[in-house]
Amino acid sequence: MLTYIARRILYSIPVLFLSSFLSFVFVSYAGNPLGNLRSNPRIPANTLRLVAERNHLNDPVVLRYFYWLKDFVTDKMGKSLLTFQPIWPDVHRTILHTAQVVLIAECLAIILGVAVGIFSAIRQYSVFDYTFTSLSFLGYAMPTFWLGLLLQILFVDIYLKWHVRIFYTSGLNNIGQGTWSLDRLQHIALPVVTLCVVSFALYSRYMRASMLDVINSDYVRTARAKGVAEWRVVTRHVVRNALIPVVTVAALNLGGLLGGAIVTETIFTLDGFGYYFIQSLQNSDFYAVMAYLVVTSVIIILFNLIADVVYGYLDPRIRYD
Amino acid sequence: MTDSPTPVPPAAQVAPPEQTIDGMVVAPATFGEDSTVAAGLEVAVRSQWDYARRRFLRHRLAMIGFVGLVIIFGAGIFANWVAPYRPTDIDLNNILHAPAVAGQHYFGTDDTGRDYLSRVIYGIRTSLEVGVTVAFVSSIVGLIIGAIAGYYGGLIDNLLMRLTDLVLTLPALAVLLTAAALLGQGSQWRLTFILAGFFWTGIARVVRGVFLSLREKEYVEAAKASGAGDARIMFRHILPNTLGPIVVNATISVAAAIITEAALSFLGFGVNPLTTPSLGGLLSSAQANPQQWWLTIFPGLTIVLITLCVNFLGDGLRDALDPSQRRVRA
Amino acid sequence: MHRRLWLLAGAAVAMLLLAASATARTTGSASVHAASLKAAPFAQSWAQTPRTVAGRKAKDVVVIADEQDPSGFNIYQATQSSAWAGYMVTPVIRGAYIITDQGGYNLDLAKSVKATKTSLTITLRPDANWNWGGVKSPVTNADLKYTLEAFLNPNNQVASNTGYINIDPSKTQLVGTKTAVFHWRTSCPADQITAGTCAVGAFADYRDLFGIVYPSKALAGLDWNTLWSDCVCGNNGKPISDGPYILSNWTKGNGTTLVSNPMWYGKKPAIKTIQWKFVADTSSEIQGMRGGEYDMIYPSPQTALSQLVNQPGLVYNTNRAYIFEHIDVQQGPQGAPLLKQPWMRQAIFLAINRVSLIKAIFSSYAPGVKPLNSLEYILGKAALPHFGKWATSQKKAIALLKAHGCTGGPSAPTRGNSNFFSCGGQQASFRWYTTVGNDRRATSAAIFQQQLAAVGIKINPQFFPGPAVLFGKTLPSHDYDLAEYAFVAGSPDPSNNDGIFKTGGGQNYTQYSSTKADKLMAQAGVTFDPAKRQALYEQVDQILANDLPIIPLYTYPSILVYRKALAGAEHSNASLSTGPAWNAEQWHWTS
Repeated sequence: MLTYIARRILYSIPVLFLSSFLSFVFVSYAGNPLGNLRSNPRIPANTLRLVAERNHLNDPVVLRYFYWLKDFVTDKMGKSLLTFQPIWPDVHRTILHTAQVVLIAECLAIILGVAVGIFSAIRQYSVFDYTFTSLSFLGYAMPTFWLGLLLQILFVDIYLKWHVRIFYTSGLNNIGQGTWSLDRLQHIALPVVTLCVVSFALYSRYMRASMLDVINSDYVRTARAKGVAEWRVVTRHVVRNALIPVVTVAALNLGGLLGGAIVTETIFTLDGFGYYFIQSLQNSDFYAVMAYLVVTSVIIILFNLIADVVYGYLDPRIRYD
Repeated sequence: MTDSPTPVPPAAQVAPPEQTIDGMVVAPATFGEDSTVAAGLEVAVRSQWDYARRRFLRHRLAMIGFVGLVIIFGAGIFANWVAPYRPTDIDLNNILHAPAVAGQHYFGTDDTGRDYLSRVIYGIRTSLEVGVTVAFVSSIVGLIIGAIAGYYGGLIDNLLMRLTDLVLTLPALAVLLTAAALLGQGSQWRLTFILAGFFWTGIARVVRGVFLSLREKEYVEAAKASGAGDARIMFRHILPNTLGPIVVNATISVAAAIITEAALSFLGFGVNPLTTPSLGGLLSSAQANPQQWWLTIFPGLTIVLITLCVNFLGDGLRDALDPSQRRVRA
Repeated sequence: MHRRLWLLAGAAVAMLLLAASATARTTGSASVHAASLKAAPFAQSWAQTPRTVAGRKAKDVVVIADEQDPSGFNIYQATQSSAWAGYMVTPVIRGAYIITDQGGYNLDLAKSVKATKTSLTITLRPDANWNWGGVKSPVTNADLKYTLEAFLNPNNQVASNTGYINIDPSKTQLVGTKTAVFHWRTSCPADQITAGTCAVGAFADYRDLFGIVYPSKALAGLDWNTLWSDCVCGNNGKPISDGPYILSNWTKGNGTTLVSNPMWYGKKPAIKTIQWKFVADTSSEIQGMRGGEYDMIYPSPQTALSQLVNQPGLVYNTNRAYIFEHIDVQQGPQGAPLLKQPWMRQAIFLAINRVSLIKAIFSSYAPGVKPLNSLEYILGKAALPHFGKWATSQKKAIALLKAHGCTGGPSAPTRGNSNFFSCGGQQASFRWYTTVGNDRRATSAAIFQQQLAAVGIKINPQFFPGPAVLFGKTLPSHDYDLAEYAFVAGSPDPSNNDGIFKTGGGQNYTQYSSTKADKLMAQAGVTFDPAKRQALYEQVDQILANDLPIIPLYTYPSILVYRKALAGAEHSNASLSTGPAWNAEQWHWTS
């Protein structure tokens, strides 16, 4: 197992380099920091020349990639090309905000999804099963941004009509409030619900299908034949084994979401990682965009690896050679 | 990329088990061939396709989904006849009217007086074109790559899986933005092919899993021993076993592609909003007019309905094509 | 099995702990370097701000919602130049003149300014003083000299040095402590003229010079390019101001606080504290105005604002801003050849209906917007409607096209027409480029497409990202036919538009060239008599109205919403960097 992990990590490194290089090429061709400056009509040619020189904009792309790499590694992700502000504090701050929202949403989704999946499978074809299967279908079919928009409109209407703030519809928190204050929870409630719905639907479906698979398998039948009590069969044998694929899917899902729930953050104007990315992209702030891409790539590769390792660890039938 | 999770099955896919009919192992899991009969029994057996078809037709939800899709996609395909107005007809005297029967504006009008029902119908057509094409192209690409990786294993497998990793880590938004920069915004076909370039990874992994597990089977060895070439083995013997997961994955890809395109259009990176109304683009302009509820509700509802029907269909197909399920739901 | 579950649970807990280790401070950290301000962060001062209007009235506090988080306060540094930073700096650091709400220039720091063909003499007020960390020191002519040199320094990334390059820095004379005499250049090396770092002769728009005066003593030893990145302060980190207010703190992501400056020369301001609270999206601003959280907002124009139009207790003020939306008509070799024909451009202008376009876009939230009919002067008596002669007449457009041999189009204006004209073998079909993600431009592209199709002209709209593509690549490469976007004028003075119409001008993306207009603009550049200068620019405007290098559409409405009880608040019509607090010293709460 350890050799497998080591090998995977080793293979990931060239992938990471290649991915960052390709991303850099894409981003440099897509945007031009001088473009932002040019929209100011009176900018002198000398200033454009200075900015271009400082950011090596006239060098070939490969050379610029290495300048970026050097800054990234030696200067804590470098400084924003346009504002000279260091990037790492922004990345650090925004990724923690995103992590808070995403982790809460995922935990809720896992807990609810697993619970609903278990009961749906045990009481297959009952009213409970049909209701929740339909709900999870609905949840899975709902585009997150639409749900977010609807929730936002609903709660803005409530505030304007009755002047009572149940949940806030934008921003992370009011000034001076802490990370785990009630105010913060009121602000992130709606984004959390938005993200939770689709994940919940996914996990409950997977859990149910996985439970059904396990319930109909031979070893469960053996346990029942041996006379083990039903609830013990369920908790001891069925659930634990059924959880395995769900855990894997959850790890993959989490990896994707940690890359920044871009659309949700845009709708709710959260100061998160995805929002930071979109802003940097619109300002052609290369270094910030590259920082985002590299961090996201690392997260995705890491979580893919975690998913595979966890799966291999939990399921003795899987052998990695 | 976007927040909707793409359904990636676990890394190691459990291989489909042997075919059983009432407990007797009859034949390896190959579709399209009549199952051989165990010696001595003269039972008229149906082929696997028959079972699949029957299961599918009995699956209530799948039927609902199928009919729903026929209606919705039919409206999209025949948009020219179904839509009461042209989607680009501006009527500055009729701005932002609520839905009403008078004037045939059943979904109301938008901020330049264009009939919203027509725009939604043409939006369905765009979504349909994008979704189906993405699913189709990504399935084929994923199939080829997964088959080669799974069958040959070793170094080729490693390289192809690292390629998969690479694609997974590339940011779709940056690529789309670059494309928009170099080629100007907007043909939906360019968006389609770029999306397909990101969607094939799921199918590739599943197909690879199947090929990995099946290539050790005895009948493959037998085929090799009798001189069958690699291509023949891959196509004739192993490939049919992947059709089930591929069909299911393709169905799910359609829904995922539609939602992704809508999200991209919503962010402003999708199709040209003027020439091709798109459901996501409609939602994006609806944001500017939050008090006109019909602008937000109708496109979103349409997306939900399309995705629901596709998911029902996918579920039904998976149940029908899953060889291990013997129950035919009454 | 137990162990495995514990492992999973442990991993989950670890992840939660990781998230919980998020800094408890939600305030982001501004960068720290030598000259940074260690004042009380915004959160503390915000905690003491009353949340109700009545409370704020009692304490003489005003809260303004700030739409953009500044990235630094040296607004003349090109990469930090942001509109809202400019709004916050206007009450803090002043210049020779200040532009009023009517577009006029009032003397501010300067007691008198005299410009001749050879020199520019500025005398500062005797009572103009710097308040540097509580220490008073006079504003002197050394500050003027420092400012000039900052703008001329080739290592400084200045946002604009127009006019400063006309001054010869080696000939500056300092008389006493308050008067500086600058001399215009009499000659320039040829390469510097083309590089744009040197210009010969007097600069007629001298009132736009020294719009900011830097404190030379306080900034000694600091690099101008990294100046004021998180505060407006001197080299010891203490805040500095010569205006009615001091910038006492700024916290990134939260807001800025201004407190009144006792050492300002004018009447003590009635409002003691101005809080600029950062609110990233407009719908929160709107809710804040309705709910009593904010006293003033200065939002970017959008439809959602219609909710505030008739609210009791609020003043909803729209005015013309110095940003004008227009259609570029490419006349270079990469544009459509048909566009080089004046009658084609005229036909396009005649075919579009700007009134109905404006009504569709603005009527719900900015009812006063009108089509723009003059380019050199946007406001006031000098704005003569030269372009008004192209009032909408689709019949005339068709007649014009037919008269020049175009065939294949409709004979009368037809809605939904799909037969397009062909003129001399070329189809009247043009690329139309504009920015993506802009609802207003998407709407106008749709409307124009229909209006032009009605007279048989086809346009093919395409949408590009603005700064990255349209402004950065497409426009400078001149590879387009028609483009719709907005120009931002730096000040009311018409010389700001010279770059758009002069042959080879920096914003002359259309590659328009008129020797007559060039001559007139050059002449106006050295004419000091305001009446004569105006007459020259009126002539330029008439030439432009005939040649139609660009088609003016409308000026953006500038929307200011504030509490009725806040007297003295007045819309600023000046350049974008002056902002709503340009006369904050005149505000006071009424009951």
